Amino acid sequence: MGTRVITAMLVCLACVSCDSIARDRVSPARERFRSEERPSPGQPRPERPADEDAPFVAEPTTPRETTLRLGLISARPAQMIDEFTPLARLLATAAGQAHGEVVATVDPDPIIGRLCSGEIDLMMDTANDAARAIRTCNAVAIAVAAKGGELRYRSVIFVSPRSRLRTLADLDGKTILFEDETSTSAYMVPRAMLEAAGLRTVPADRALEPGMIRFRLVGDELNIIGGVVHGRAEAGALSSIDIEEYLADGAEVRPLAESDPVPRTLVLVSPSLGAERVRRVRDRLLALGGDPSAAAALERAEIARFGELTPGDARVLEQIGRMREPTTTGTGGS
Amino acid sequence: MRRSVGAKLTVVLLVIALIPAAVAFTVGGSVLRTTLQAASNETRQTADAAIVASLEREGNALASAFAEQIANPLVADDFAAMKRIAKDLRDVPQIERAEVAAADGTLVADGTDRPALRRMRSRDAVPEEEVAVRQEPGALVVARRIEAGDRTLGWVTLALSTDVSREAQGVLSEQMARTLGEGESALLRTSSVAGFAMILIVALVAAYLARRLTRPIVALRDATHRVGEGDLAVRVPVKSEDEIGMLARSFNAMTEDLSQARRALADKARLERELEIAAQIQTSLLPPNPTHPDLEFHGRMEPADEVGGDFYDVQREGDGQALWITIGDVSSHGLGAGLVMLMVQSQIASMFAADPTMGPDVALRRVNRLLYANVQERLRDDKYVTVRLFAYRGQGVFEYAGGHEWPIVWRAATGKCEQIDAEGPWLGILPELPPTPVARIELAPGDVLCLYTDGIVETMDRSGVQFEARRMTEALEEAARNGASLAGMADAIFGAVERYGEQDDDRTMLLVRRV
Repeated sequence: MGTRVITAMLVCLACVSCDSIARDRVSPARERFRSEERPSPGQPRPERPADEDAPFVAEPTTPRETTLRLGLISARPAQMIDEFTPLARLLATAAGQAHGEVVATVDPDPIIGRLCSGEIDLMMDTANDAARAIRTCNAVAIAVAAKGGELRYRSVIFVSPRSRLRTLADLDGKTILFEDETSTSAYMVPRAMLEAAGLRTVPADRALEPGMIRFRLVGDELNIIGGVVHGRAEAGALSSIDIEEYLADGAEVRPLAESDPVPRTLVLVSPSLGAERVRRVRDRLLALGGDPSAAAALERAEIARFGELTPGDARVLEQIGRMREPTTTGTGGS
Repeated sequence: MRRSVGAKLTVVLLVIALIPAAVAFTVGGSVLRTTLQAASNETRQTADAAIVASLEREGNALASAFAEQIANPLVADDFAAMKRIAKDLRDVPQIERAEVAAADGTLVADGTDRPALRRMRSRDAVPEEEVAVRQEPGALVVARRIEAGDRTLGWVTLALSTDVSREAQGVLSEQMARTLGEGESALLRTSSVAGFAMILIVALVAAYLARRLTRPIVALRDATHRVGEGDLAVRVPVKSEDEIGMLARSFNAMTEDLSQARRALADKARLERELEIAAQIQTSLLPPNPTHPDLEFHGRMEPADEVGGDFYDVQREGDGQALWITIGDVSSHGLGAGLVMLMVQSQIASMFAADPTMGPDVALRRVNRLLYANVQERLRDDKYVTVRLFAYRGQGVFEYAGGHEWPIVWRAATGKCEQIDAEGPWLGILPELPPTPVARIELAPGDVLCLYTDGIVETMDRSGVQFEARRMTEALEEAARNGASLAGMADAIFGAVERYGEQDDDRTMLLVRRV
């Protein structure tokens, strides 16, 4: 009798405690999980910086006449300002300016606009945005930055290893997966490759005609490779850097074609910047890689060195520039 | 440290009372612990089931949300979104596995890049029902279909670690241990108070019982002290028939015995004093060194342990010829016998002083008359006396009367002994002696008259044969042949009788030689 009473009491205690424990451990995760808003597939990855609505993270604070301004486009503008300010000051010194300042935004248009208007002296960005700046106001590319260690990469078009496709021409009438319209390596360059191969790239919702290849913007590199692996599309395009990493992780894809080298990050100057300053900045950029006094600034900006612009780089920029003609993709794009 | 019996008994009773209590406490504690342990185990099992049920509820809810969230990315082949959703779930510590499978069974998301990079089959089959729950080692697996209309798009699988169960059990065990510990502490406190009270009560009861049980013993102890101080009249009350009552009875008997023994000792001491006085009387009456122109004397007395009534005397009037020789033996021993002997000796001495020519028969009749009157009539005693009185008449002639051991005469002329047939009455038995004949002995020069008491001739050897006068005369004759003096003759006789048997009576001898 005593045992039953004690057991009943302890069981009550146990049930209350255990239910509480289980709920305490799992329920918060469930609530958090339920409350999250998930993007629809194909939409651009959500970026939620605090200053998303503001074009500039910080307005210039020093006199324009004595300041060299470097424009950057990033989903993390505040972090970019922090990381690139030492480099901006180095370059300001080379340009004979007293101050070096960084202006960063999420959206490329404000930076390109200010570069074209001369409010910003320099811009560092991808080939895609660089091509836009060149096309918009004849901004001048003066160097290539080895961002992440590499000066250049290639765009790779790949297929399933079981696919019978062997050339780009075999993609006639097929579907290829791109990331989004802002992507250089996974949209601009491979699309240019396909165009160069005589295939007309059209959005996936277009009716196919001979000589056409449909493309679908899937918003993420993983969706590109996953789509090819799982047979959602015949081909996909990624940068050589990404595809090498995926292959190293055992991705079941086979490269079909790759582009010429594409400059990873370009340094452009405003057309209003004087030739002497351009020269001095360019020379300083190219010398930074061997300058120990600049090592800390480069390391902070995660740039190994700066290289000269090659003719191939110019061709790629021209190709991309041509690709910047207005298009209708039908599946998003920012 | 000396402890009283009462204290020891108190401790013993206390221990006897506490041992069952301790055993009961120990057994009770063990039973309680066993009961609590059984309850704890049952509780753990119930708790485990409760946790699993709770996990199942939470897992169902989570899987439902998971399926809801994953539906659109699954349709859109959004591997990245599915990866993020699955990864978000994987980041929850209790979720070991969060996977998405397409309708064809292909794994499309598990929180990593792998499902996007390679085609893999899901390890789980499509659930037969909308939700399926099963248990794997260490995990509760919830699978839920992803449905759109009548179509099954795929399914999600969540594996929730039952570590939370173990964790919960740990928390529960801790809580239970704390609760049980507090209970045990309370029980211990209560038990301690109760135990202390019980010890106090038991100690008081034990002390009372010990006092009650030891009261007779204490009385015995006090009585013993009084006995030790000499109070033999003390007695202890006998209130029971048990061992203590028997002890009290024995004590009383012992003190009674002791009292009697003390009285006996006193009697003995008194008797010893009397004997001492009697011995003093006996020896003091012996003549110191009697002399006579015609006679030579040697007297010897060897008293036994108890003073007897032997005596001998030699009365001489100054340097005259008159001489009385007396030898006798008073019946019984002790002071009374000594007094009687003194009475006889004194009277004979007074009569000799009054009239040395008085016949020995006359003297003995007078002595008898007085002795009877004093002893038989006044003292109401039955003592009597054997006595022989020799009156010297000169020229070696003795007249004698009375009843005693027959005298022996060693004749120098023959070198042999003669035992004189000399019957006669004892004194103190009759109020008046019958007419007593007076006999005569004549000693020639050198002859020796040997007077003796029964302590010599009645000495017995180990076989009970008496020494008798025969052996005495042989010793006397041999000594005389060897030319021994009177003392030498006495030595020979006493030596012979000494060798013959143990002494148990006074040995008295008086040797008289005519010179």
